[in-house]
Amino acid sequence: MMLVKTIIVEHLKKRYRVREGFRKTRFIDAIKDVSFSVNKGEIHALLGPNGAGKTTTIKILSTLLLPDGGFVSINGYDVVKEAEKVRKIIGLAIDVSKGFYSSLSGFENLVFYGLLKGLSLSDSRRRAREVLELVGLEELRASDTPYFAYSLGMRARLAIAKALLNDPEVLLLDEPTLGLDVESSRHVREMLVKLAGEGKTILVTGHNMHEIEMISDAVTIINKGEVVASGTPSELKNRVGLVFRLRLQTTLDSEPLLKKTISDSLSVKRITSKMSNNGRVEINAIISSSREDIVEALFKASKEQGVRILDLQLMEPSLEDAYLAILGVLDEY
Amino acid sequence: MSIRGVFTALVYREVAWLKRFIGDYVTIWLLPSIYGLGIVFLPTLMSDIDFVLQRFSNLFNHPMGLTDALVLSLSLSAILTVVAVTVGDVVQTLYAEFKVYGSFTIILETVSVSTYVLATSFMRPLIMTVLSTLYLIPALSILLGPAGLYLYFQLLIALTLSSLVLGVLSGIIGILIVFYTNVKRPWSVSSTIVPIMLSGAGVYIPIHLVPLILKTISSITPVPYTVELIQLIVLKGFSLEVSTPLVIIAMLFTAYYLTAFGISKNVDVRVRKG
Repeated sequence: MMLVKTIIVEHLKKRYRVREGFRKTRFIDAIKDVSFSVNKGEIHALLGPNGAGKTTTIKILSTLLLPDGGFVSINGYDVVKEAEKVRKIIGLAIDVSKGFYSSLSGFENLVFYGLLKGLSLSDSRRRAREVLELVGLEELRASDTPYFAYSLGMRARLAIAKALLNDPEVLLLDEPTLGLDVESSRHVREMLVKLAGEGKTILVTGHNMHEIEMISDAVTIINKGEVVASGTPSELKNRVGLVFRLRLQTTLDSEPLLKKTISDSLSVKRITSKMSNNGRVEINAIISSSREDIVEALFKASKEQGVRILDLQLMEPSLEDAYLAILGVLDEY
Repeated sequence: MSIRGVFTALVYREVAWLKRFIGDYVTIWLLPSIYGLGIVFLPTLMSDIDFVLQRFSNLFNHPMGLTDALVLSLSLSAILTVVAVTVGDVVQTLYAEFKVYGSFTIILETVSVSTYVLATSFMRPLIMTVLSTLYLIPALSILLGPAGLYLYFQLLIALTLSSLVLGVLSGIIGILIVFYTNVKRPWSVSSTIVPIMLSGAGVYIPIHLVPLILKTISSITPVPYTVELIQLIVLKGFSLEVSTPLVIIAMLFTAYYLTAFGISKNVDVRVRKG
């Protein structure tokens, strides 16, 4: 199947002008050079530490901000020259803790937004009911409650409902699960996967790597306004040469032989051992061999050399490990 | 994005707010009613009603009975609510949208700032002028019978024209406060501007007794011309004389509209540049 690039970002630049007093002006390069693309029906995660330029990128994509350089298009529409057309096909959730009129209910806020988007009153009302139900706010009886009485989780749900109101082809979501409880986060994740399955293209930012890893098809990591890595979560993990974490428990007698076997037969980056409270010895190792090689070496040691393995945990590298390694803040890599 | 959609959205929001804040409107109706009645009846505590009516007739250069005096004072009271509500609401709502609620995202992602500000400056005064002067319908009907309703509609035309100018002017003030200053308490600005506009407009005292400085400041607003318009409508009916204040109000509207359009276009670029 041919992949259609729905979002194209090429050499994006954004510089903020900060006034300091009357005369001084300082410039901050929020985005220096960001390029990536998102295929149709894909969930693409934009990751990076605070201040990396994620929100600025989302704001430019959603026409809220004008870029200072580069090219950005959504569904073939230039976000600068064809902003009106872009606005019709996108749904945006940004800063989910606010963004609505506090004295209006969730339903009223959505109808107001729908009318501004150009929907008729009856369509706005119908869609408002539908999306409130979709995000689970109807069952919380929150649609008629004033926005100021909403919890953070309800606010986040309303922000997502707003993004879905005009049934957009592209969803731009800036930390959509921020402040949501476990159940609500799960609900949102399932919803995003379902929407992507229906052909919607989703660009999402966030700090919850576990969540991003579960839902995203591709990831772009930006830092200090520049792309530092891009690819599928597994590509990113492989690219940085990530390793497995092995934790096993053995007897005091078996420990030296087991450590030697692991060190000799596998590519070990670090291996340590310590006595645990139950009289067993716990061995921790960071190994860059394949999963199969690790399992084989351990079985061989157990079978041929008679070492006793009492407990075993083999942890795969996570996207969080890859992310931290790419940003250079995980020293053990 | 159609301008019709923006107008419909604003009407929808205003109606939703009305349902939620009906108590505020009751206050808005009560206070000017008390003011209107007080202007006629308070002086009678110091002297008799005939003397008060004589003074009234002299001040406005028109013979007036008790009913005429009450109709005039109640009609003039409407300008108090229209100015206060229009200026206060347009300025403070713009501030709240852009600086407090963060609801400007909804606006920026759907329309341009200029479209929104100008639509707000039109729509809100139109709606709020009707809503804030509803108390005049029973008041004037009691005093004049069916003719009171007719007079109300004449006054409504004058007040609506005035509020349109005030709306655009408030839009300009709102933009300046929100985007060009670091004001944190916009209500203190709007509640200072309102009495300045009113005190020089001949609402509290006849225009020829108003100090020149106040008169000058007030002359760049539609308020003194609306006061004149109301006096003419109440005392003489819709005659050719109303054309002068109407032309001035139209000129002010054009000037402020062009200014607001230019400033809000500039703001749109400014906001989107970050």
